[in-house]
Amino acid sequence: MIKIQWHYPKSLAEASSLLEIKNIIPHGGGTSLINRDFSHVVGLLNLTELGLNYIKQDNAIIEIGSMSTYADILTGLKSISPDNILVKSLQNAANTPCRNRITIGGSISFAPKWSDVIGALLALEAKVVITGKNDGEFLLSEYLEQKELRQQSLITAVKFKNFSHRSSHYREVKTKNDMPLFTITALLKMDKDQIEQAKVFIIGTTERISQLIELENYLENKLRLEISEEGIQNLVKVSFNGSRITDGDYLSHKAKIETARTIFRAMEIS
Amino acid sequence: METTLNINGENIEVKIDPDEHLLHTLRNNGFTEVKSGCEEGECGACLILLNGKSVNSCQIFTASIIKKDKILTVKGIGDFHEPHIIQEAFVECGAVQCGFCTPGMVLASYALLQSNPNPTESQIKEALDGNLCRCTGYVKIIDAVKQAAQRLQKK
Repeated sequence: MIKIQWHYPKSLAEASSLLEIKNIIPHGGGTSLINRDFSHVVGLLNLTELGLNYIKQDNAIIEIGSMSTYADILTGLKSISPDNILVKSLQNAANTPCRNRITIGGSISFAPKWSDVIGALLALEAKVVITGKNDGEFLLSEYLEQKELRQQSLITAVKFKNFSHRSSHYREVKTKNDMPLFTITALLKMDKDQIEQAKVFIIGTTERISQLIELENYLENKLRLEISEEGIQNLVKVSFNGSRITDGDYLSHKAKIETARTIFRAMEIS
Repeated sequence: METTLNINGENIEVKIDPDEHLLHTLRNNGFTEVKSGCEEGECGACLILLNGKSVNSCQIFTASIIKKDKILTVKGIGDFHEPHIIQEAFVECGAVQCGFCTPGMVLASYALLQSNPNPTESQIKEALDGNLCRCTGYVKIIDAVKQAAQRLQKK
């Protein structure tokens, strides 16, 4: 029998002090923990009663509590930022009962290769607010790179600017319910027909997360008529691990084609 | 460990393991209307309503349920003797064949119609996107939800 102990903190201060005990894991919706090996885990921290389920906007900064589910975010974000890339990435993620349970905090801390939200949040230059051993606000990119930020800490919120940029999200799946083999996120700041700033991420590559900086540089300061599918495809230099159901080279080829399509969709060129 | 679960309006004391899944707690305590299917959150056979929202009980640790949480299984909305309008519609429209997916389908439909009494076909499909049926081909299930929606509005 597994000897993990559940804790039900009523405040963030209580949660922080419990996190000082080694090998206690925060529990959000639990979907990424459900089949985990708990042999090294001594406790689970139920975050339900910490009031972390909220979405608010203050001075054009959107803040989402870490216990907000995908369904909560879709409903809440659609009313304040309907064209947000996070809405586009979440609306096809998982299925309804899973969207009712998966939390944004759990998705960030687990950050699987099949994540639908990491690309969107990186493109939005999101910051995560964490408490515990590492108190403070950090860029999501830092949080994902620095393992020590995750230790004995929990995410309380994610914040990003309410951009009204053009965007598109693509998920490579065999059937709608599948977890994606990779996702492509494109966020473009445009002034009429000219791209001022571009953010392009592919999640699920061999490197797990790939920002296509060379491609972003190619796109920036170009008129959309100057941009070609071939030009985009030549700058998509990502590799994938093969799997039982697909081949890495095929995915690399597919990523080139779909990145071009995603960027053209974002530019609203059919 | 011991905990109290509010299931179909009644508080029930249960003994659980710390890593026990809600699906197993429910079935081990007599709520066998909650079906065990894929146990990966894909098929919706184990679907219940948690505080009015459809969730897969196989994806939830029982210990994560707190006292104020309310669990609803399909028997909580109606049974053989007093079926809910949605359950009647499923029978009348021929939306039940082997019946394994039906508890989850009915509850997902119930959650939808509670929040959206007059859904479009695409909204019905979206609400049922986590429920797999290997018998019916879904057409009669969607017909049943439409029929139930009409009857519930007239009620």
